[in-house]
Amino acid sequence: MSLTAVHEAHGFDPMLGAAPAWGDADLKALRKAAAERFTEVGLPTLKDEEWKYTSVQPIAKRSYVLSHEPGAARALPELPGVAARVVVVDGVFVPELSSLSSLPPDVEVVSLREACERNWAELAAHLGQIADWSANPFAALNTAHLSDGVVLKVADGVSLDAPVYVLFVTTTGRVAHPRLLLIAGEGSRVNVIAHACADLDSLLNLVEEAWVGARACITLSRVQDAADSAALVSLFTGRVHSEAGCETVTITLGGGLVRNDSGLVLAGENIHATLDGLYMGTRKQHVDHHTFLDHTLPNCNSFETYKGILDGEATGVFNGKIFVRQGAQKTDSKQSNMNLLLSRDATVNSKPQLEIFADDVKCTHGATIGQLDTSQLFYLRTRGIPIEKARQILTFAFANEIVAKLPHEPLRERLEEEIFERFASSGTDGL
Amino acid sequence: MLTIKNLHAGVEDNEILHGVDLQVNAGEVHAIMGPNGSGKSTFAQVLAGKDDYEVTEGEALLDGEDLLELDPEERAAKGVFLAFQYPVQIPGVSNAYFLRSALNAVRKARGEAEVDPMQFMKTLREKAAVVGMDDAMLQRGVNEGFSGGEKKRNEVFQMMVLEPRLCIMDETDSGLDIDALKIVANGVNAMRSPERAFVIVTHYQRLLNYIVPDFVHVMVGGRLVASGGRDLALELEEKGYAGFEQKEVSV
Repeated sequence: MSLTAVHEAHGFDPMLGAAPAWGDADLKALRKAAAERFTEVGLPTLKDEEWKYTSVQPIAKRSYVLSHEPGAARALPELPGVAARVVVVDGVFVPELSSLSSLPPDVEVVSLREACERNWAELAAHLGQIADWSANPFAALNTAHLSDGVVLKVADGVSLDAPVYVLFVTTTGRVAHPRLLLIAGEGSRVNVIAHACADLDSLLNLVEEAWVGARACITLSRVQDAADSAALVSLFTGRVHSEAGCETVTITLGGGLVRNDSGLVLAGENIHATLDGLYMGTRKQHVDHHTFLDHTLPNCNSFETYKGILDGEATGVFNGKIFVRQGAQKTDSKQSNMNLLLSRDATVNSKPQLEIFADDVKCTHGATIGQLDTSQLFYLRTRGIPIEKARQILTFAFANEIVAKLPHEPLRERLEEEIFERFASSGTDGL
Repeated sequence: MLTIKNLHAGVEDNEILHGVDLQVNAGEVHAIMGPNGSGKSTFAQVLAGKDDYEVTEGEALLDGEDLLELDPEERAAKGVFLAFQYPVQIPGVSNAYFLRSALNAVRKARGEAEVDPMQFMKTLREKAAVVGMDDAMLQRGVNEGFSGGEKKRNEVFQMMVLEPRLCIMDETDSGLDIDALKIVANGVNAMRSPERAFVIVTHYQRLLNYIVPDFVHVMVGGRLVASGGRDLALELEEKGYAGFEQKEVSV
């Protein structure tokens, strides 16, 4: 369907608002190329293999407001123990809500716009170069609107112990296309928490790019939470270099329509990478995780565990791609996707997808879909734990394998509590 | 304490227990012995409330109250405990958390206050030491990565923490070496009291050298075919179950 036809039929105008006028000629060219790409492909449909189980009709049917003035956000979550807090509301960096004063001088956290205006030449090497927007219609749309967001740069050899907390928020009825660019210099260490919240009737279309230098060590914790009437679409790509460590955890608490494409390109040797996730859905929510791990060179490890818990009439999708290129000998890659269905009407589609072109590798994958274990339930009950509480304990235990991987304790404790409480009243139809 | 009359139970159309009668009084230790497949474990699990089994006839009363009407957690609240033959692993739920939840649930059902977390950990460590479990085992997931012997010790440990009135032990001795057997028996013997009763299901009389029973019953073909004192176990050790099995066939 052409763009105009989509617009006329449904009301979503993807190219709403003129492309931002500011920026270097190269940046303008990048936006233009992305806009052309989006115009060419349009919104994905179920006929597109990558979108087979995720209909974007809920987005296409809505009209959103795009503005470069941020709306009034609800009370924003606070997180103790962070080195910096950066708040992006409706795609616009809001300095009044951010606190960056306690950062050391060799860690830069600035608005994307300021970073582009200050030193475009340096950013040009990374911005829009890591995440492949040409293969992802929403990322192309984000790039066409590229205007603001956050650039986080850690100089070579610098360690930042406390995390940088980045909050992307959309307010009621808005559409936003923010971007995070993380540049972790060689041998640096940094811990980033990216928290995405989409409020009522909004569309948060996020692109996150990470450049991880040789011997760097980064952890990226992503938390996603969208309203039932909201949509959250994201593309995260990390480009990781030799001997680096890159650990990513994504916790999706739910949302009307959530689609993530998350992955790492292992562009070096002896890299240790993890890509883990927990997704939860209830009512009529839809949560889709597409992941990719691209092994391009020898001797890298990647470990991936995604777990899903679906209740009500929620639907989940997991699609995990692992590429092992011809030269990537001695790759050790393990993928696992486990799903717990708490109600009769919840569904999940799980698909591992391994493409291996090297002949001396270890690659395993496994997927399970099931209910709570009745023998575990009986065991807990014989010790006096009532059945509802036993279900809650077992469901939380399933989730907690992933939550426990979050490195920042205050965030981990908050989510543990939230997730434990959430399952106090789930799975009431007897499964 | 426990009165069982003509208990019939099975899975779907397959009846396993064909009329069991048993009277257990407070302070007594009863051993139920029998060959493989005689229904001993079914009996233990029916008493704990496993819903895979259907009771088709007869009754089981705990202090005059119908036990079979109660959910497993309600039975636990009334003081029934089953030490499993095959304890279940529950990764992601620490032993300590599990036991505190269990104890608080039981206390709540009895109208008692929750335990003080600090005091509870202290008690937990003391009791764990009796069965040779260390702090690391308390913090590990329930039975997660435990050896067969460690799982059985953990069952007895849980029993010591929850302090039930009626302890049903299903083949707690199987898979234990002699040292572990002594540890388990010490735990049980320390709990013997005039208010508490034990039903010990076992295949071998070896355990009964350490936990001396007041009564020994022989289960064959889903019925208790003989009852006696301690000597009956020794006789079984010598002669095996063959004599009783023949008796069963001729019935």
